[in-house]
Amino acid sequence: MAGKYESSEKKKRKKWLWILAVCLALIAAVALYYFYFYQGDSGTPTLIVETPQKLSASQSSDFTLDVTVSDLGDARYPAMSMSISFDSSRLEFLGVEDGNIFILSDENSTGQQLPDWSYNVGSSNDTGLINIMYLDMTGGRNAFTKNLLADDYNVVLRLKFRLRGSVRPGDVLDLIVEDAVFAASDESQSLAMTRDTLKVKNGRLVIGE
Amino acid sequence: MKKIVSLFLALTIMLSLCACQGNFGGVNLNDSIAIPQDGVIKENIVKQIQSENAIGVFTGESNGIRYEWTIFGSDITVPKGINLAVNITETIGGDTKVTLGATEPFGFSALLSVYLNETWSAQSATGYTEEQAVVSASLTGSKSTILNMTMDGSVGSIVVRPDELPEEETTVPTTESEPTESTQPTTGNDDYLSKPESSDNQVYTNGKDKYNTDPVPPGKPKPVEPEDTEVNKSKSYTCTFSIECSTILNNLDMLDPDKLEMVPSGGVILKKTTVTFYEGESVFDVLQRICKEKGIHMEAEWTPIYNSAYVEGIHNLYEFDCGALSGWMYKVNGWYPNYGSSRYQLKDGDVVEWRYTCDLGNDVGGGYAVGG
Repeated sequence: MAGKYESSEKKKRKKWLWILAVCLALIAAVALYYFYFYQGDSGTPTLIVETPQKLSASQSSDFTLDVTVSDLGDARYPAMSMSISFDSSRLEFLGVEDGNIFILSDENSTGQQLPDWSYNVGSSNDTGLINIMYLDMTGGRNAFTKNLLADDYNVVLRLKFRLRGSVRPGDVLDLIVEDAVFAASDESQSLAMTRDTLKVKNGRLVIGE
Repeated sequence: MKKIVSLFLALTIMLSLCACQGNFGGVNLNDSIAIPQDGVIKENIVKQIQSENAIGVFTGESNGIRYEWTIFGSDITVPKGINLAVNITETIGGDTKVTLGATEPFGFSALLSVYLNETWSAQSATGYTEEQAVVSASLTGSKSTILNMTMDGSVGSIVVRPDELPEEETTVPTTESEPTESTQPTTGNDDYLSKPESSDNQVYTNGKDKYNTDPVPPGKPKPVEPEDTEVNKSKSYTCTFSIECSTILNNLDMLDPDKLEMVPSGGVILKKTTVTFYEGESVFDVLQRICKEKGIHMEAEWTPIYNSAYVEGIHNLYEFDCGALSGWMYKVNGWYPNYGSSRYQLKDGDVVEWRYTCDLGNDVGGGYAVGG
Protein backbone atom coordinates (compact mmCIF):
# COMPACT_ATOMS: atom_id res chain seq x y z
CA MET A 1 0.00 0.00 0.00
CA ALA A 2 2.83 2.36 0.96
CA GLY A 3 4.59 1.50 -2.30
CA LYS A 4 1.44 2.35 -4.26
CA TYR A 5 1.16 5.71 -2.48
CA GLU A 6 4.81 6.46 -3.22
CA SER A 7 4.31 5.64 -6.87
CA SER A 8 1.28 7.95 -7.13
CA GLU A 9 3.28 10.77 -5.47
CA LYS A 10 6.10 10.22 -7.94
CA LYS A 11 3.66 10.38 -10.85
CA LYS A 12 2.19 13.61 -9.52
CA ARG A 13 5.64 15.15 -9.08
CA LYS A 14 6.56 14.06 -12.59
CA LYS A 15 3.39 15.64 -13.94
CA TRP A 16 4.13 18.97 -12.23
CA LEU A 17 7.70 18.88 -13.46
CA TRP A 18 6.41 18.41 -16.98
CA ILE A 19 4.09 21.38 -16.57
CA LEU A 20 7.01 23.43 -15.24
CA ALA A 21 9.18 22.43 -18.17
CA VAL A 22 6.43 23.34 -20.64
CA CYS A 23 6.02 26.72 -18.91
CA LEU A 24 9.74 27.40 -19.13
CA ALA A 25 9.76 26.43 -22.79
CA LEU A 26 6.82 28.75 -23.40
CA ILE A 27 8.57 31.66 -21.69
CA ALA A 28 11.73 30.99 -23.67
CA ALA A 29 9.73 30.87 -26.90
CA VAL A 30 7.99 34.16 -26.11
CA ALA A 31 11.30 35.81 -25.22
CA LEU A 32 12.98 34.54 -28.36
CA TYR A 33 10.05 35.65 -30.51
CA TYR A 34 10.18 39.09 -28.95
CA PHE A 35 13.92 39.57 -29.31
CA TYR A 36 14.32 38.12 -32.79
CA PHE A 37 11.34 39.66 -34.51
CA TYR A 38 10.89 42.96 -32.75
CA GLN A 39 14.25 44.08 -31.46
CA GLY A 40 16.19 44.16 -34.75
CA ASP A 41 19.91 44.61 -34.49
CA SER A 42 20.02 46.08 -31.02
CA GLY A 43 23.53 46.13 -29.69
CA THR A 44 25.22 46.75 -33.05
CA PRO A 45 26.27 50.40 -33.34
CA THR A 46 23.98 52.01 -35.88
CA LEU A 47 24.27 55.40 -37.57
CA ILE A 48 20.84 56.74 -38.45
CA VAL A 49 19.76 59.65 -40.61
CA GLU A 50 16.45 60.31 -38.93
CA THR A 51 13.35 60.53 -41.10
CA PRO A 52 11.33 63.59 -40.06
CA GLN A 53 7.58 64.10 -40.27
CA LYS A 54 6.28 65.08 -43.73
CA LEU A 55 7.34 68.50 -44.99
CA SER A 56 5.20 70.88 -46.97
CA ALA A 57 6.33 71.61 -50.52
CA SER A 58 5.83 75.30 -49.81
CA GLN A 59 8.06 75.29 -46.74
CA SER A 60 10.66 77.96 -47.35
CA SER A 61 12.36 77.95 -43.97
CA ASP A 62 15.48 75.94 -43.19
CA PHE A 63 15.19 72.65 -41.35
CA THR A 64 17.57 70.15 -39.81
CA LEU A 65 17.80 66.38 -39.92
CA ASP A 66 19.35 64.55 -37.00
CA VAL A 67 22.09 62.03 -37.57
CA THR A 68 22.12 59.76 -34.53
CA VAL A 69 24.13 56.83 -33.33
CA SER A 70 22.54 54.08 -31.27
CA ASP A 71 25.61 52.71 -29.53
CA LEU A 72 29.40 52.69 -29.66
CA GLY A 73 32.01 50.07 -28.86
CA ASP A 74 34.38 50.20 -25.92
CA ALA A 75 37.23 51.85 -27.83
CA ARG A 76 38.10 55.52 -28.15
CA TYR A 77 37.33 56.87 -31.62
CA PRO A 78 39.59 59.82 -32.52
CA ALA A 79 38.16 60.15 -36.05
CA MET A 80 34.72 59.92 -37.57
CA SER A 81 33.61 60.39 -41.15
CA MET A 82 30.43 59.95 -43.10
CA SER A 83 29.29 60.47 -46.68
CA ILE A 84 25.61 61.11 -47.30
CA SER A 85 24.17 61.49 -50.76
CA PHE A 86 21.11 63.63 -51.47
CA ASP A 87 19.23 65.09 -54.43
CA SER A 88 20.91 68.47 -54.79
CA SER A 89 18.47 69.54 -57.51
CA ARG A 90 15.62 69.52 -54.99
CA LEU A 91 17.43 70.02 -51.71
CA GLU A 92 20.02 72.63 -50.76
CA PHE A 93 22.54 71.67 -48.10
CA LEU A 94 23.29 74.62 -45.84
CA GLY A 95 25.70 73.19 -43.29
CA VAL A 96 26.02 71.24 -40.08
CA GLU A 97 24.72 72.10 -36.63
CA ASP A 98 25.89 70.66 -33.32
CA GLY A 99 24.41 67.47 -31.95
CA ASN A 100 24.45 66.37 -28.32
CA ILE A 101 27.39 63.96 -28.36
CA PHE A 102 30.55 65.27 -26.82
CA ILE A 103 34.17 64.29 -27.29
CA LEU A 104 36.74 64.12 -24.54
CA SER A 105 38.58 67.35 -23.93
CA ASP A 106 41.50 68.49 -21.84
CA GLU A 107 40.88 72.11 -22.67
CA ASN A 108 38.11 72.87 -20.22
CA SER A 109 36.98 71.91 -16.75
CA THR A 110 34.06 69.78 -17.90
CA GLY A 111 36.40 67.42 -19.70
CA GLN A 112 34.22 67.41 -22.77
CA GLN A 113 33.50 69.52 -25.82
CA LEU A 114 31.56 69.36 -29.04
CA PRO A 115 33.43 68.05 -32.09
CA ASP A 116 34.48 70.46 -34.80
CA TRP A 117 33.20 69.02 -38.07
CA SER A 118 34.82 69.63 -41.46
CA TYR A 119 32.65 69.81 -44.58
CA ASN A 120 32.25 71.87 -47.74
CA VAL A 121 28.81 73.28 -48.48
CA GLY A 122 29.55 74.36 -52.07
CA SER A 123 31.09 71.09 -53.08
CA SER A 124 28.29 69.11 -51.40
CA ASN A 125 25.66 70.95 -53.41
CA ASP A 126 27.69 70.57 -56.61
CA THR A 127 28.10 66.82 -56.26
CA GLY A 128 25.05 65.82 -54.22
CA LEU A 129 27.33 64.15 -51.70
CA ILE A 130 28.00 65.52 -48.23
CA ASN A 131 31.38 64.46 -46.86
CA ILE A 132 31.73 65.22 -43.17
CA MET A 133 34.73 64.46 -41.05
CA TYR A 134 36.03 64.90 -37.53
CA LEU A 135 39.71 64.31 -36.88
CA ASP A 136 41.22 64.51 -33.43
CA MET A 137 44.66 66.03 -33.94
CA THR A 138 45.77 65.28 -30.38
CA GLY A 139 46.19 61.58 -30.92
CA GLY A 140 43.19 60.42 -28.95
CA ARG A 141 42.75 62.97 -26.16
CA ASN A 142 39.75 64.48 -27.97
CA ALA A 143 38.09 61.29 -29.04
CA PHE A 144 34.55 59.93 -29.14
CA THR A 145 33.80 57.45 -26.40
CA LYS A 146 30.61 55.69 -25.40
CA ASN A 147 30.98 57.12 -21.90
CA LEU A 148 29.96 60.51 -23.27
CA LEU A 149 26.88 59.32 -25.13
CA ALA A 150 23.58 60.86 -24.14
CA ASP A 151 21.08 58.63 -22.37
CA ASP A 152 18.78 57.67 -25.18
CA TYR A 153 18.88 59.95 -28.23
CA ASN A 154 22.47 60.47 -29.33
CA VAL A 155 22.68 63.13 -32.02
CA VAL A 156 26.08 63.08 -33.71
CA LEU A 157 25.24 66.17 -35.73
CA ARG A 158 22.37 67.88 -37.49
CA LEU A 159 22.27 68.42 -41.25
CA LYS A 160 20.77 71.75 -42.23
CA PHE A 161 18.78 71.92 -45.46
CA ARG A 162 16.35 74.04 -47.41
CA LEU A 163 13.89 72.79 -50.02
CA ARG A 164 14.49 74.11 -53.50
CA GLY A 165 11.66 75.55 -55.58
CA SER A 166 11.68 72.44 -57.78
CA VAL A 167 10.21 70.27 -55.00
CA ARG A 168 6.66 69.03 -55.61
CA PRO A 169 4.08 67.41 -53.31
CA GLY A 170 4.55 63.65 -53.35
CA ASP A 171 8.31 63.86 -53.87
CA VAL A 172 10.40 61.56 -51.74
CA LEU A 173 14.00 62.56 -51.16
CA ASP A 174 16.29 59.86 -49.83
CA LEU A 175 19.35 60.68 -47.77
CA ILE A 176 21.59 57.71 -48.26
CA VAL A 177 24.56 56.95 -46.05
CA GLU A 178 27.14 55.91 -48.64
CA ASP A 179 29.93 55.42 -46.13
CA ALA A 180 30.50 55.86 -42.42
CA VAL A 181 33.41 55.11 -40.11
CA PHE A 182 34.22 55.58 -36.44
CA ALA A 183 37.97 55.03 -36.53
CA ALA A 184 39.76 53.70 -33.46
CA SER A 185 43.51 53.88 -33.01
CA ASP A 186 43.49 50.09 -33.01
CA GLU A 187 42.04 49.42 -36.44
CA SER A 188 40.49 46.15 -35.40
CA GLN A 189 38.21 48.09 -33.07
CA SER A 190 37.09 50.60 -35.71
CA LEU A 191 33.44 50.65 -36.66
CA ALA A 192 32.95 50.70 -40.42
CA MET A 193 29.89 50.38 -42.60
CA THR A 194 31.87 48.47 -45.21
CA ARG A 195 32.86 45.84 -42.65
CA ASP A 196 29.37 45.58 -41.19
CA THR A 197 30.63 46.63 -37.78
CA LEU A 198 28.58 49.80 -38.14
CA LYS A 199 25.01 49.53 -39.38
CA VAL A 200 23.37 52.46 -41.10
CA LYS A 201 19.80 53.55 -41.62
CA ASN A 202 19.02 56.00 -44.40
CA GLY A 203 16.77 59.01 -43.96
CA ARG A 204 13.82 59.92 -46.11
CA LEU A 205 12.11 63.26 -46.66
CA VAL A 206 8.51 62.91 -47.74
CA ILE A 207 6.97 66.01 -49.23
CA GLY A 208 3.31 66.48 -48.47
CA GLU A 209 0.88 69.07 -49.77
CA MET B 1 5.57 22.81 -4.76
CA LYS B 2 2.04 22.97 -6.09
CA LYS B 3 1.80 26.65 -5.16
CA ILE B 4 5.07 27.55 -6.84
CA VAL B 5 4.11 25.76 -10.01
CA SER B 6 0.66 27.35 -10.03
CA LEU B 7 2.23 30.79 -9.64
CA PHE B 8 4.64 30.04 -12.42
CA LEU B 9 1.87 28.81 -14.65
CA ALA B 10 -0.19 31.93 -14.04
CA LEU B 11 2.83 34.11 -14.79
CA THR B 12 3.52 32.24 -17.99
CA ILE B 13 -0.05 32.52 -19.16
CA MET B 14 -0.01 36.25 -18.43
CA LEU B 15 3.25 36.75 -20.28
CA SER B 16 2.01 34.77 -23.25
CA LEU B 17 -1.22 36.72 -23.35
CA CYS B 18 0.68 39.99 -23.14
CA ALA B 19 3.00 38.94 -25.95
CA CYS B 20 0.08 37.79 -28.09
CA GLN B 21 -1.64 41.09 -27.51
CA GLY B 22 1.64 42.78 -28.35
CA ASN B 23 1.84 44.73 -25.14
CA PHE B 24 5.25 43.29 -24.36
CA GLY B 25 6.86 46.70 -24.14
CA GLY B 26 5.81 47.56 -27.71
CA VAL B 27 8.40 47.83 -30.46
CA ASN B 28 11.31 50.19 -30.75
CA LEU B 29 10.20 52.47 -33.54
CA ASN B 30 13.57 54.23 -33.68
CA ASP B 31 15.03 51.18 -35.38
CA SER B 32 13.96 49.60 -38.63
CA ILE B 33 11.74 46.61 -38.01
CA ALA B 34 12.28 43.45 -40.02
CA ILE B 35 9.11 42.30 -41.72
CA PRO B 36 8.22 38.81 -40.46
CA GLN B 37 8.18 35.93 -42.92
CA ASP B 38 4.40 35.99 -43.27
CA GLY B 39 4.56 39.77 -43.82
CA VAL B 40 1.94 40.47 -41.18
CA ILE B 41 2.39 43.47 -38.90
CA LYS B 42 -0.03 43.18 -36.03
CA GLU B 43 -2.64 45.76 -35.24
CA ASN B 44 -1.02 46.72 -31.94
CA ILE B 45 2.14 47.89 -33.74
CA VAL B 46 0.11 49.97 -36.20
CA LYS B 47 -1.75 51.34 -33.19
CA GLN B 48 1.56 52.18 -31.50
CA ILE B 49 2.75 54.10 -34.57
CA GLN B 50 -0.51 56.02 -34.58
CA SER B 51 -0.60 56.77 -30.86
CA GLU B 52 3.04 57.88 -30.73
CA ASN B 53 2.62 59.81 -33.99
CA ALA B 54 5.81 58.00 -34.93
CA ILE B 55 7.32 56.94 -38.22
CA GLY B 56 7.52 53.18 -38.62
CA VAL B 57 10.09 51.76 -41.01
CA PHE B 58 9.72 48.09 -41.95
CA THR B 59 12.34 46.36 -44.06
CA GLY B 60 12.25 43.25 -46.16
CA GLU B 61 13.97 41.60 -49.09
CA SER B 62 12.65 39.81 -52.12
CA ASN B 63 14.76 38.10 -54.79
CA GLY B 64 17.84 40.03 -53.70
CA ILE B 65 16.00 43.38 -53.86
CA ARG B 66 15.66 45.30 -50.63
CA TYR B 67 12.45 47.14 -49.87
CA GLU B 68 11.23 49.40 -47.10
CA TRP B 69 7.82 50.54 -45.96
CA THR B 70 7.59 53.93 -44.26
CA ILE B 71 4.38 54.52 -42.33
CA PHE B 72 3.59 57.89 -40.78
CA GLY B 73 1.47 57.82 -37.64
CA SER B 74 -0.34 60.92 -38.88
CA ASP B 75 -1.60 58.99 -41.93
CA ILE B 76 -3.22 56.20 -39.94
CA THR B 77 -6.92 56.72 -39.44
CA VAL B 78 -8.15 53.27 -38.44
CA PRO B 79 -5.33 51.05 -37.18
CA LYS B 80 -5.46 47.43 -38.22
CA GLY B 81 -3.09 44.58 -38.92
CA ILE B 82 -1.46 44.82 -42.34
CA ASN B 83 0.48 42.54 -44.63
CA LEU B 84 3.69 44.22 -45.79
CA ALA B 85 5.15 41.28 -47.71
CA VAL B 86 6.21 42.20 -51.24
CA ASN B 87 7.46 40.02 -54.06
CA ILE B 88 9.70 41.93 -56.45
CA THR B 89 10.94 40.68 -59.81
CA GLU B 90 12.83 42.50 -62.54
CA THR B 91 11.42 41.69 -65.95
CA ILE B 92 13.41 41.32 -69.17
CA GLY B 93 12.13 44.60 -70.58
CA GLY B 94 13.67 46.48 -67.67
CA ASP B 95 10.40 46.94 -65.80
CA THR B 96 9.98 45.93 -62.18
CA LYS B 97 7.04 43.84 -61.07
CA VAL B 98 5.90 44.48 -57.52
CA THR B 99 3.38 42.04 -56.08
CA LEU B 100 1.89 43.05 -52.76
CA GLY B 101 1.13 40.43 -50.17
CA ALA B 102 -1.85 42.44 -48.94
CA THR B 103 -5.18 41.22 -50.23
CA GLU B 104 -7.08 44.30 -49.14
CA PRO B 105 -6.09 48.00 -48.95
CA PHE B 106 -4.43 49.17 -45.73
CA GLY B 107 -6.97 51.96 -45.29
CA PHE B 108 -4.19 54.55 -45.06
CA SER B 109 -1.28 55.53 -47.27
CA ALA B 110 2.11 53.92 -46.81
CA LEU B 111 5.32 54.61 -48.67
CA LEU B 112 7.02 51.69 -50.38
CA SER B 113 10.68 52.18 -51.31
CA VAL B 114 12.30 49.58 -53.56
CA TYR B 115 16.10 49.57 -53.76
CA LEU B 116 16.77 48.42 -57.32
CA ASN B 117 20.06 46.77 -58.18
CA GLU B 118 20.43 49.00 -61.23
CA THR B 119 20.23 52.67 -62.14
CA TRP B 120 17.34 54.04 -64.15
CA SER B 121 18.14 57.16 -66.14
CA ALA B 122 14.53 58.39 -65.94
CA GLN B 123 13.44 61.08 -63.50
CA SER B 124 10.19 59.38 -62.53
CA ALA B 125 8.31 56.14 -63.05
CA THR B 126 4.74 54.92 -63.11
CA GLY B 127 3.17 51.76 -61.73
CA TYR B 128 0.58 50.08 -63.95
CA THR B 129 -2.08 47.45 -63.35
CA GLU B 130 -3.17 46.04 -66.69
CA GLU B 131 -1.79 49.08 -68.54
CA GLN B 132 -3.70 51.48 -66.31
CA ALA B 133 -1.51 53.86 -64.33
CA VAL B 134 -2.24 53.37 -60.65
CA VAL B 135 0.70 54.87 -58.84
CA SER B 136 3.49 57.31 -59.66
CA ALA B 137 6.98 56.71 -58.37
CA SER B 138 9.69 59.21 -57.69
CA LEU B 139 13.25 58.07 -58.23
CA THR B 140 16.27 58.90 -56.13
CA GLY B 141 19.70 57.44 -55.48
CA SER B 142 22.93 58.05 -57.33
CA LYS B 143 24.62 54.64 -57.33
CA SER B 144 21.42 52.68 -57.81
CA THR B 145 17.82 53.73 -58.17
CA ILE B 146 15.32 53.81 -55.34
CA LEU B 147 11.66 53.63 -56.38
CA ASN B 148 9.41 55.48 -53.96
CA MET B 149 5.70 54.80 -54.30
CA THR B 150 2.90 55.96 -52.04
CA MET B 151 0.46 53.09 -51.83
CA ASP B 152 -3.01 54.38 -51.14
CA GLY B 153 -5.22 51.49 -52.03
CA SER B 154 -3.40 49.25 -54.44
CA VAL B 155 -3.38 45.50 -54.05
CA GLY B 156 -2.15 42.72 -56.31
CA SER B 157 0.60 43.19 -58.90
CA ILE B 158 1.94 46.47 -60.23
CA VAL B 159 4.41 46.78 -63.08
CA VAL B 160 6.65 49.80 -62.57
CA ARG B 161 8.10 51.33 -65.70
CA PRO B 162 10.45 54.34 -66.00
CA ASP B 163 8.76 57.38 -67.57
CA GLU B 164 10.23 58.71 -70.76
CA LEU B 165 11.99 62.03 -70.47
CA PRO B 166 10.00 64.97 -71.84
CA GLU B 167 10.89 65.80 -75.44
CA GLU B 168 12.34 69.17 -74.47
CA GLU B 169 14.76 67.64 -72.01
CA THR B 170 15.97 64.87 -74.26
CA THR B 171 17.03 67.39 -76.89
CA VAL B 172 18.92 69.67 -74.54
CA PRO B 173 22.50 69.53 -75.77
CA THR B 174 25.09 69.39 -73.06
CA THR B 175 28.10 69.43 -75.30
CA GLU B 176 29.21 71.62 -78.14
CA SER B 177 26.37 70.71 -80.45
CA GLU B 178 24.85 73.32 -82.70
CA PRO B 179 21.71 75.07 -81.52
CA THR B 180 18.54 73.38 -82.67
CA GLU B 181 16.79 76.60 -83.51
CA SER B 182 17.13 78.34 -86.85
CA THR B 183 19.24 81.45 -87.03
CA GLN B 184 18.09 84.98 -86.38
CA PRO B 185 14.51 85.53 -87.52
CA THR B 186 14.02 88.20 -90.13
CA THR B 187 10.40 89.07 -89.57
CA GLY B 188 8.72 90.46 -86.57
CA ASN B 189 5.63 88.25 -86.78
CA ASP B 190 6.17 86.16 -83.71
CA ASP B 191 4.95 85.86 -80.18
CA TYR B 192 7.28 88.45 -78.87
CA LEU B 193 6.15 91.17 -81.24
CA SER B 194 2.46 90.49 -81.07
CA LYS B 195 2.27 90.06 -77.31
CA PRO B 196 4.84 92.16 -75.53
CA GLU B 197 5.10 91.11 -71.89
CA SER B 198 5.13 94.55 -70.38
CA SER B 199 4.92 98.15 -71.42
CA ASP B 200 8.68 98.40 -70.99
CA ASN B 201 9.19 95.94 -73.80
CA GLN B 202 7.88 98.37 -76.37
CA VAL B 203 8.14 97.17 -79.92
CA TYR B 204 9.75 99.48 -82.36
CA THR B 205 8.89 99.62 -86.02
CA ASN B 206 12.18 98.07 -87.08
CA GLY B 207 11.18 94.88 -85.18
CA LYS B 208 13.54 95.53 -82.31
CA ASP B 209 12.60 96.33 -78.75
CA LYS B 210 13.73 99.45 -76.93
CA TYR B 211 17.01 97.79 -76.04
CA ASN B 212 17.86 96.99 -79.65
CA THR B 213 16.98 93.33 -79.29
CA ASP B 214 15.80 91.48 -82.37
CA PRO B 215 12.67 89.36 -81.98
CA VAL B 216 13.29 86.28 -79.88
CA PRO B 217 12.75 83.02 -81.80
CA PRO B 218 9.50 81.25 -80.90
CA GLY B 219 9.83 78.92 -77.94
CA LYS B 220 12.87 80.69 -76.55
CA PRO B 221 12.79 82.67 -73.29
CA LYS B 222 12.13 86.35 -73.68
CA PRO B 223 14.37 88.89 -72.00
CA VAL B 224 13.42 89.99 -68.50
CA GLU B 225 14.53 93.47 -67.53
CA PRO B 226 16.76 93.47 -64.43
CA GLU B 227 14.93 96.44 -62.93
CA ASP B 228 11.64 94.51 -63.06
CA THR B 229 13.06 91.53 -61.28
CA GLU B 230 13.17 90.75 -57.62
CA VAL B 231 15.43 87.99 -56.38
CA ASN B 232 13.59 85.62 -54.03
CA LYS B 233 16.23 84.05 -51.82
CA SER B 234 13.78 81.63 -50.25
CA LYS B 235 13.48 79.73 -53.54
CA SER B 236 16.68 78.18 -54.81
CA TYR B 237 17.31 76.06 -57.89
CA THR B 238 20.28 74.59 -59.68
CA CYS B 239 21.78 75.02 -63.13
CA THR B 240 25.13 74.12 -64.63
CA PHE B 241 27.81 76.58 -65.68
CA SER B 242 30.95 76.07 -67.77
CA ILE B 243 33.49 78.50 -69.19
CA GLU B 244 35.85 77.62 -71.99
CA CYS B 245 38.03 79.17 -74.64
CA SER B 246 39.12 76.22 -76.77
CA THR B 247 38.57 78.20 -79.97
CA ILE B 248 41.72 80.15 -79.10
CA LEU B 249 43.73 76.93 -79.41
CA ASN B 250 42.80 76.85 -83.11
CA ASN B 251 43.72 80.49 -83.58
CA LEU B 252 46.92 80.87 -81.60
CA ASP B 253 48.46 82.84 -84.44
CA MET B 254 45.94 85.62 -83.79
CA LEU B 255 46.34 85.61 -80.01
CA ASP B 256 48.05 88.46 -78.25
CA PRO B 257 51.35 86.79 -77.22
CA ASP B 258 51.10 88.32 -73.74
CA LYS B 259 47.88 86.35 -73.18
CA LEU B 260 49.24 82.94 -74.14
CA GLU B 261 49.88 81.98 -70.52
CA MET B 262 46.22 82.68 -69.70
CA VAL B 263 44.93 79.97 -72.01
CA PRO B 264 44.46 76.66 -70.16
CA SER B 265 45.95 73.66 -71.94
CA GLY B 266 42.57 72.13 -72.76
CA GLY B 267 40.83 75.47 -73.11
CA VAL B 268 38.57 74.80 -70.11
CA ILE B 269 38.48 77.59 -67.53
CA LEU B 270 35.58 76.15 -65.53
CA LYS B 271 34.41 72.62 -66.16
CA LYS B 272 30.67 71.90 -66.10
CA THR B 273 29.68 72.75 -62.54
CA THR B 274 26.31 72.60 -60.81
CA VAL B 275 25.55 75.91 -59.14
CA THR B 276 22.74 77.12 -56.95
CA PHE B 277 20.79 80.21 -57.91
CA TYR B 278 17.77 81.99 -56.51
CA GLU B 279 14.49 82.71 -58.17
CA GLY B 280 14.83 85.83 -60.32
CA GLU B 281 18.59 85.72 -60.84
CA SER B 282 20.07 86.24 -64.28
CA VAL B 283 22.89 84.46 -66.09
CA PHE B 284 25.12 87.44 -65.34
CA ASP B 285 24.29 87.42 -61.61
CA VAL B 286 25.35 83.81 -61.34
CA LEU B 287 28.42 84.26 -63.54
CA GLN B 288 29.56 87.06 -61.29
CA ARG B 289 29.02 84.95 -58.17
CA ILE B 290 30.64 81.77 -59.43
CA CYS B 291 33.69 83.64 -60.72
CA LYS B 292 34.08 85.25 -57.31
CA GLU B 293 33.66 81.92 -55.53
CA LYS B 294 36.08 80.08 -57.78
CA GLY B 295 38.62 82.92 -57.91
CA ILE B 296 38.25 83.38 -61.66
CA HIS B 297 38.94 86.88 -62.94
CA MET B 298 35.96 88.51 -64.69
CA GLU B 299 35.38 92.05 -65.89
CA ALA B 300 32.14 93.46 -67.20
CA GLU B 301 30.68 96.85 -68.00
CA TRP B 302 27.09 97.97 -67.78
CA THR B 303 25.75 98.89 -71.21
CA PRO B 304 22.59 101.04 -70.87
CA ILE B 305 21.71 100.76 -74.54
CA TYR B 306 21.32 96.98 -74.15
CA ASN B 307 20.14 97.25 -70.52
CA SER B 308 22.64 94.56 -69.63
CA ALA B 309 26.16 94.00 -68.45
CA TYR B 310 28.61 93.26 -71.21
CA VAL B 311 31.27 90.71 -70.29
CA GLU B 312 34.58 92.09 -71.49
CA GLY B 313 36.99 89.53 -70.10
CA ILE B 314 37.11 86.27 -68.21
CA HIS B 315 40.32 84.69 -66.87
CA ASN B 316 42.15 87.76 -68.21
CA LEU B 317 41.15 86.89 -71.75
CA TYR B 318 39.42 89.95 -73.18
CA GLU B 319 37.51 90.79 -76.32
CA PHE B 320 39.86 91.42 -79.27
CA ASP B 321 42.66 89.43 -77.59
CA CYS B 322 42.39 86.84 -80.35
CA GLY B 323 41.55 88.95 -83.37
CA ALA B 324 39.14 91.76 -84.15
CA LEU B 325 36.12 89.43 -84.07
CA SER B 326 36.88 87.82 -80.72
CA GLY B 327 35.02 88.05 -77.42
CA TRP B 328 32.78 86.18 -74.96
CA MET B 329 29.35 84.72 -75.74
CA TYR B 330 26.94 82.69 -73.68
CA LYS B 331 24.73 79.78 -74.58
CA VAL B 332 21.77 78.45 -72.55
CA ASN B 333 20.38 74.99 -73.29
CA GLY B 334 22.15 75.02 -76.65
CA TRP B 335 20.88 78.44 -77.75
CA TYR B 336 22.87 81.69 -77.95
CA PRO B 337 20.44 84.36 -76.71
CA ASN B 338 20.31 87.51 -78.81
CA TYR B 339 20.25 89.72 -75.72
CA GLY B 340 22.57 90.42 -72.80
CA SER B 341 23.17 88.01 -69.95
CA SER B 342 21.67 90.40 -67.36
CA ARG B 343 18.32 89.99 -69.14
CA TYR B 344 18.35 86.19 -69.25
CA GLN B 345 16.49 84.91 -66.21
CA LEU B 346 17.59 81.43 -65.22
CA LYS B 347 15.27 78.46 -64.81
CA ASP B 348 15.80 75.26 -62.87
CA GLY B 349 18.10 72.85 -64.71
CA ASP B 350 19.40 75.38 -67.28
CA VAL B 351 22.73 74.50 -68.89
CA VAL B 352 24.81 77.67 -69.29
CA GLU B 353 28.02 77.69 -71.32
CA TRP B 354 30.29 80.72 -71.67
CA ARG B 355 32.45 80.40 -74.76
CA TYR B 356 35.17 82.51 -76.30
CA THR B 357 34.67 83.19 -79.99
CA CYS B 358 37.39 84.27 -82.43
CA ASP B 359 34.92 84.83 -85.27
CA LEU B 360 31.86 86.70 -83.99
CA GLY B 361 30.24 83.46 -82.88
CA ASN B 362 30.60 81.59 -86.17
CA ASP B 363 33.24 79.27 -84.73
CA VAL B 364 31.05 78.32 -81.74
CA GLY B 365 27.73 77.93 -83.54
CA GLY B 366 26.33 81.27 -82.48
CA GLY B 367 26.94 83.54 -85.42
CA TYR B 368 23.44 84.95 -85.23
CA ALA B 369 23.55 86.07 -81.60
CA VAL B 370 24.86 89.17 -79.93
CA GLY B 371 24.60 88.36 -76.24
CA GLY B 372 27.74 88.33 -74.21
